[in-house]
Amino acid sequence: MQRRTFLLAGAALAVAAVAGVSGCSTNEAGTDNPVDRLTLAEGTEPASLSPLAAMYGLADKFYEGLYTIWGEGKLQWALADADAVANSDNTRWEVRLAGGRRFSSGAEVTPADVVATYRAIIDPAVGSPLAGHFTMLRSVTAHDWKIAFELSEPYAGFDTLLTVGIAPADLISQPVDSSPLVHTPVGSGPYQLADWRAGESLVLEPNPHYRQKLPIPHLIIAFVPDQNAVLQRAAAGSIQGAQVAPALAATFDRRGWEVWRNASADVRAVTFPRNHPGLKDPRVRRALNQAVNRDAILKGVQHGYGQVAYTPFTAAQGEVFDPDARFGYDTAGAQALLDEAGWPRGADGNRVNAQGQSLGFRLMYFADDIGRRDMAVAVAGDLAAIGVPVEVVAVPHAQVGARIPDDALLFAGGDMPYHPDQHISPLLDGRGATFDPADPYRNPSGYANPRIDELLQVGRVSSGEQRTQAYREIQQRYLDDPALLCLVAIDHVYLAAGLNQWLDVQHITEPHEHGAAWGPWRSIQSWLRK
Amino acid sequence: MVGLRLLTGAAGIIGVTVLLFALIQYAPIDPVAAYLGAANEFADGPTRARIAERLGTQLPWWQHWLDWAGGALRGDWGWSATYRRPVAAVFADRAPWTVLLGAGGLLLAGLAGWAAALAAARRPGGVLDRLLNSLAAVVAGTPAFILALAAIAVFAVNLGWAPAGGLTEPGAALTPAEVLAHLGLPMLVVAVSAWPQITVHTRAALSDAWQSEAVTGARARGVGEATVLARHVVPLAAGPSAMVLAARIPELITGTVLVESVFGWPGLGQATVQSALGGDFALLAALTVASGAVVVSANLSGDVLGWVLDPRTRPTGRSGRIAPRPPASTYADAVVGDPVVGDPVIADPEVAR
Repeated sequence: MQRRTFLLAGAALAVAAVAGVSGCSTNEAGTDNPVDRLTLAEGTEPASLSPLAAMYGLADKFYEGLYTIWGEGKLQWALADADAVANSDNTRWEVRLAGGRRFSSGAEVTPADVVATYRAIIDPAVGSPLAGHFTMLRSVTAHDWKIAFELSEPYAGFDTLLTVGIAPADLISQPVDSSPLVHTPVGSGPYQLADWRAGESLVLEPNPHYRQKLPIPHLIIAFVPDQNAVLQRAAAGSIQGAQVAPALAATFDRRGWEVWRNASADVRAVTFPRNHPGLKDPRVRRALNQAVNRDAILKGVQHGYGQVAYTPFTAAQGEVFDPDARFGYDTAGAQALLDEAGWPRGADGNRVNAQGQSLGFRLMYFADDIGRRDMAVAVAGDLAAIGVPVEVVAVPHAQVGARIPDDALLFAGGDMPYHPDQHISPLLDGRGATFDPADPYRNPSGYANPRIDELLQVGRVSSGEQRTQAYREIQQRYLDDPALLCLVAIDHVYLAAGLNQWLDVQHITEPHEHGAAWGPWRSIQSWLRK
Repeated sequence: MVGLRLLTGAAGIIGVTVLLFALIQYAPIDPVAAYLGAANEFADGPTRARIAERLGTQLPWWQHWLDWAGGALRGDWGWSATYRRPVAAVFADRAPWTVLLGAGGLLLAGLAGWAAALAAARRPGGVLDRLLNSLAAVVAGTPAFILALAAIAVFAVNLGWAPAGGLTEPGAALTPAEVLAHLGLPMLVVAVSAWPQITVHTRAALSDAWQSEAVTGARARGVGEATVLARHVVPLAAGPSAMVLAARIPELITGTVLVESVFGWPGLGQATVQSALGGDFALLAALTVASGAVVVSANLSGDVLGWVLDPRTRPTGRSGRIAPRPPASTYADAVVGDPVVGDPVIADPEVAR
């Protein structure tokens, strides 16, 4: 009798649990939120709101830089009120600061603040991660309301880097990890921080000294790590926007909501491990590039949200991008190339060379990233079909770096995409060909092509047509000797409610960074009510 | 006796922190990568070197422990890499929420456990008794995070009676009403996971008490059923039950880690998970010390409470008695602890336990 009671009780509990878990919410979309506030979901809580901690992050809601990124990677004036002017050899740049701008504390934004901010970036005592992007900056000075940047070497397009948020001089000069700016932003941007509830949410209120009235004065950014919880909250109406994975965007169809896509410069690519004997041969790398069906990956893994990419260049690099630099999808040609390069198929169908070494390799992906896993599996399938066995392995972040010389990685680029040199040099520059365990993600394929190195230098120092030609030639030469197996430049996909009430919601090409700082809400301070 | 317990407890806690620093080097965690987060793929060599120096990852583990221990003795608990704030500030922010959740859950579990145990012990072997025992077995076997997920699925998503997580609705003001509304479901889950052990042990203690010779004797003297319950049975069971209740507190620590993660409750449990995943030495060591201290003091206070409530369980022996035995009195106002004249069985503490 006792055993039967126990079994009955257990069965009842199990049935209740299963019924509860498998049921779906039947709530309608709640889009009748008050028009003065918007709640967005963000996957990861930022560690720091300092403008020197990261580029293009949530700090952009509180700070303005001299310029800001607009459209497909164009520069727009923010705190500057004129284009930057370079001298003849691109070693000195001048920017004029607009007057009458104020920080949220009420203090005026002066040239001294701009100088202090850029000096802090390159100051080792402050220790900003952005220092690596400003190695060419030698000194910053101000004269009247003009800021002068002196560079130690010519650098074309330097103004593209001038999007770092400007903070008050006294606060910005402290070490980046312990400065009060980590938790309490003081900027001239549209919003100021009302409350940061750790682990919960950021509450933003309008900056009283911002130069225009905000269409949506209050923003709440809730931290919701789990995508299913995001969809639940969206269905319940407690959030009005979030970034989601492409597969989930397709399943969410509610009145008042739309799927918003922003193109990005985030190129997913497979690296070629430098210690592998076969992958040094350009013919082999060309063959692998021809053997992958990129359209199928775009459709199957990204659900069409993205652009096929053959080289690391994207439209975000402006006119230097050559859309005609493409590989054809040609498995027969790829197989012929591999045969010619000395990698015939063995008895089991896999390619081995005369010394008996296999052309196969391991392909790593970050263990927590499902999108990259799916892409890795697709690539492995395509390459297996031409006799190159690829073993897909999930690897925790901590262990990836040391394995890069031996195993391929499904890599993502585009953290600094708006400047061609910042975007491409870390991947192709031959000075990074030797593996450095302290900097494992630089030039992950160990690539060194002397002509491309020359052209990279031309691209750095020259402007205009000469610069464009140099980068275009890089793309053509890349097709002969590819450094990576580029797949797609993904779109970032967002669910957004209530956008149809607004005009001037901009599509902006995003960097690798994404989330509540981007999406349709990047331009929120200049929306117009219909 | 108490002093010796405290001393050994403190030594144990110190030993655990040494073990923590020694073992964490084998964990597949790169604190620098965790510190950088998504920017890890794009950080350059000098940035990584600077962060490694800041976090102390280059030091041998024993030197790292010595640095930390020296700081802790001086009152400086270090700086949390995960939250970019002093460890003391993280504790000050998060500890109240965990205490609220844990204490509330334990209180609820205690009340529900006693109610169930009383109902069950009235008729040992009856229907209710068997039902509650089976239910306790099933619930005890269900992990806390499954209970949490099921609770969210049933009460938050389907029925909409409770919010699905967080401290408040995003952006809402931090009022007691908001917090209580959000506290309900996680506290319920914590209570449910602590309830089975309390029920079973209390029921056993009550059942023993009900059938004990002292109660039979009281009934024989004509004492009413209600008085028997209130003045004889409950005090007899209170001692062991208090010990069981206090012994649940260490379990609560692991339980709240999971429950806080599922519900997004911003307490120390959530901080434990994040600091462990991030290899945050300072915060993890402080959390280890805190949970060790809670375990030691919970066990000790449980024992002390038991000794206070039930003098039969006081330790005797060379360390001496804590308090003298109460004097014998007449039949008419016999209370617990009085040796019934002529009955050596009850007077012997070893047998009574």
